[in-house]
Amino acid sequence: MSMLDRYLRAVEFWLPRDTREDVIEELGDDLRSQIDDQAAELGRPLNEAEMGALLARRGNPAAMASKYLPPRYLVGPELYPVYRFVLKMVAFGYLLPATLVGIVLIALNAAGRPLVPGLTPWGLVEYLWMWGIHAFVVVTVAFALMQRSAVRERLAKAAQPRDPFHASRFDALADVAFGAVMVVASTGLLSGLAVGEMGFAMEPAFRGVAWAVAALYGLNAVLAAVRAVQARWTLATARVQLATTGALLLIFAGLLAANLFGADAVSITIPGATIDQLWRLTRWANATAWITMVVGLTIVAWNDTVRLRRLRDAAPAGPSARNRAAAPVMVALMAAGFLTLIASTRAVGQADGAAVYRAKCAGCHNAGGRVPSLPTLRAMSPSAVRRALDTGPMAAVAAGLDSAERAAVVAYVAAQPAAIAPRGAGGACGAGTPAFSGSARGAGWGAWGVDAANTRFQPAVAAGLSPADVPRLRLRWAFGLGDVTEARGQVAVAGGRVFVGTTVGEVHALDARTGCRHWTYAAEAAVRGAVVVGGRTAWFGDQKANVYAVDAAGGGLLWKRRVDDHPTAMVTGAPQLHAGVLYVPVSSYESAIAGAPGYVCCTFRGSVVALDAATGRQLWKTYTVDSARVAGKNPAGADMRGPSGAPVWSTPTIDVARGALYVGTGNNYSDPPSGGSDAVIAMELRTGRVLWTRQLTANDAYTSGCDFPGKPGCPAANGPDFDLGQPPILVRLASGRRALVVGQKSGMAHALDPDREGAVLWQRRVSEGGKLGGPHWGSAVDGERMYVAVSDARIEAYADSTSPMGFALDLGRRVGGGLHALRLASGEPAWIAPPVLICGERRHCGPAQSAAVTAIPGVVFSGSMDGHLRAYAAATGAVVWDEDTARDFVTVNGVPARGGSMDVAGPVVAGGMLFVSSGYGLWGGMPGNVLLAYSVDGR
Amino acid sequence: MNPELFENLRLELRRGSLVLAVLAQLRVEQYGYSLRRALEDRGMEIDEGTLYPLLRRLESQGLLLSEWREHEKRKKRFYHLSPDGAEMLERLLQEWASIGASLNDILTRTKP
Repeated sequence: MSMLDRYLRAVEFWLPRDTREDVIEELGDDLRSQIDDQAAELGRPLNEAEMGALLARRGNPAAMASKYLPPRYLVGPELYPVYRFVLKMVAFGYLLPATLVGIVLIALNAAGRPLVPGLTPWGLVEYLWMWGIHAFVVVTVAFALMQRSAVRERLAKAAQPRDPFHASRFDALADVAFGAVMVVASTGLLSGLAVGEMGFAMEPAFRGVAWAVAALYGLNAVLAAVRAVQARWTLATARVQLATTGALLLIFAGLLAANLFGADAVSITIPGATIDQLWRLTRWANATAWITMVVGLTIVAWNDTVRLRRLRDAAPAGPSARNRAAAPVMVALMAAGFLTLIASTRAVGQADGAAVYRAKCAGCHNAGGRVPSLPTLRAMSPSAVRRALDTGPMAAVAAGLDSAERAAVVAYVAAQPAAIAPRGAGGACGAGTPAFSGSARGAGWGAWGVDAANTRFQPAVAAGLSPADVPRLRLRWAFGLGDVTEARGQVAVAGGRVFVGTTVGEVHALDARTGCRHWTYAAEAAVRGAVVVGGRTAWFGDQKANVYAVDAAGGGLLWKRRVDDHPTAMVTGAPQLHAGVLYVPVSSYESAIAGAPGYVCCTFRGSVVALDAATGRQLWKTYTVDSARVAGKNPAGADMRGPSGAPVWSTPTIDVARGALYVGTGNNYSDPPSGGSDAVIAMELRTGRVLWTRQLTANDAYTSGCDFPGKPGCPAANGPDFDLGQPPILVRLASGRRALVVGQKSGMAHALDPDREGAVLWQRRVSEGGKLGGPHWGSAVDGERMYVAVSDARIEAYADSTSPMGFALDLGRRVGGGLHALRLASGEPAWIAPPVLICGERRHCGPAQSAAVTAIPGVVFSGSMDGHLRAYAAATGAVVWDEDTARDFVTVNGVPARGGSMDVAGPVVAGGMLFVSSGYGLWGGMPGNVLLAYSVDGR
Repeated sequence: MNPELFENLRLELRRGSLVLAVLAQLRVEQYGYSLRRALEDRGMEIDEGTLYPLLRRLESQGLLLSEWREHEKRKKRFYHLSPDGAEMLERLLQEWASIGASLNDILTRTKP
């Protein structure tokens, strides 16, 4: 190809297709003619250099082509000055204040009084850069569109003199339409708008702002409608117009500032999107919307000012009566704008709670897994949330928060004021109530598993209920447990009294027949497990790993002892009493906080502690995990320590014949996994020496952090989280042989030989299993069968516009549940009672049967997350009694109470009565706070 | 004196008169190169990048007519003045004359 052709081809490239051929042919002919002429002059063809010089004089091909094109502008000369003005407004009106505010916030962070925790200089730069570019693009695109629309021509014409009082009807109608759209949009946002799959809703703190925007645009629409009829501006309407624009500008500037502070007025939901995506989208969409509105309103305000000035110049001198009337309207509207702006700043103040929640809480509580979700927290009272932060399990996570931040996050999370009394007091017993008769007298249920073998089988005499009586069970009394959302405490019955602990940290002693209250003991922290009663003493543990002995008759403290030094150690399973020694299982909530930012996971080790029941003196303490400490990094790169974990969640099982106790353990928390996790461990009663360990799932290390984005505090194994949440039950088989039967969260039931170091006798799968079980808190046995309830609870997400992440977590409504009767000798199923699906579309309801099972001759009781307590015929699995506890109750102590999902605690049967607590909001189930007592026909 | 500035002002001054020159020259049919040569011979230098876009514009405004014809073994585009163009040229020439007169007048009166 010749040099000329190459040049022409290059020019051609830049030309529009329809003129290319013509232009190139003509230009080519001209150039060829020049070459020919020059060649004729020289008397020889041009050489390469001469040709090059000739073409070089023609200039750059693109520049040559551009001469054929009409001049085009992204933003033309008419619009450019306005464009520059708006860009300046953005820079001075937004980026500059944002920079100053950001610097102040960073300074506050450095001074240790953080308003927006986690804002770093780099974060500010990133933010300004991102939104700076954003604003620039939005403004430029808006002007480029204007350049291509009729607006440009009108602006060009605007310079021509015309009647300043003339108002275009078309413009007025457009203003009416826009105003109407804004009114509909802002009021619609109050109750939530749906655009396809996406949902938009106003955050509650900004509701006032939405109303103000709707009112101002409503006023605008009305004025525009009048203008459409009259086709005239007046000084008064022009003033009101400028005032409303100014007020709106202030409001949207306020929303923009709120966005910088981390409070987004409009939340967005998309089914199936991750938290992270929704969070980013919400930030981005809010910032874009408010920037656009501020920019747009700035232009409108400028226009309004110019119009007003023109009208004033054209108007006859001296203020008319109408002008005087307009001035107060203008002042009032500007004042309204200021007030709304102040209100939105207050909303920012309130939204600080949301910012704290996002920074400190949402990472775990909105991530799924074994951490209570936001709706669960929302069901709690402000004081309950505050307790959890100040002295409860969240104390370590909340360590960096000052009092104002705590108050803000409590106000944000627990939006509902306390509707229930803080304490389950009231209902004191009258003078005629029988005195405590001691545990040896009368029918009782003094230990968690009713006996030392943990059978959860109440013999006929003590039960006082025949299978024929069960269908006639009716409510006898209800007792309100106070300000709690989980009624997890299983009762103990002894000497005509019922003992129950609550997560407020109270232990109540009630009269079994009437429910009146004898005494209440206030422990230091939540009492999670059952009380054990022996003689005239009641023992229990709390969430700070304290063990208490109190006088069962009067409630006075006998002794108190802390059984573990770890800050997250707690007592969940009830202690077991045997021959004057109290055996205490030690668990922890370290796995729940291991995912918190910066937490070095993990140092807790599960253990069993033996105490002298009379004095509290420690006899021995045996850990389930070696004390060897290895430091390293987890897969996410965070510091990690191990081995750790293997908590003991449940009551030890006593084997008198061998002088041993057996416990089931939970998973490890960190690497390296150890042999004592997810295991049955046998210890010598006298010394605590480990006799044998039978691990049922190896290499199970897990924390709640494994379920969060980025997996903070998650060990390499990442699950499967198959704890033994229930104690092994010691049984004698028909063959004369003995067995330890136990269900595991893996969905398995195991039978081990206690006389051959836990050798496996049989194993049977009853369900899929999972982090919330599988067989969860307790199985029961009778002479023939083991009764295993299946949890298989699943946590699902649903769109929730009140959540800062746009969605909340709920219990699977059609997953899990079922009761399996396995033959003790073989593990073969005798029958399987399928889950009862009654939840329908009800939220916080699921068929999972996670609570401990209880058996009496001929009948098995199992509570469900759907709020029902069901009795099954032991021989067939047929449901013979079904009681819905998810309702409000009138209580003997006058404390408002409600039943809900049933979890953890199993029903207790003694002396012809059945006691069960109801309400469990922890994993998205129905919260509740009631203790219920049933008897035949309610007598 | 700034030579660059002079060049810019000179080009600006010539730009308006170019249209006049082109229209006048096209009273007789010409093709691009010959037109350029003819203008050049009469002291109106004009480069391709200016002339051809101008011709296209004047044609699209209906002042010129053009056709592609074979000439000296090459396809060439011949332009000539349209009746509208002829009329426009007459009026522009009057304008030109009046500008010249005004300018002369100004120059004589302001002569030191």
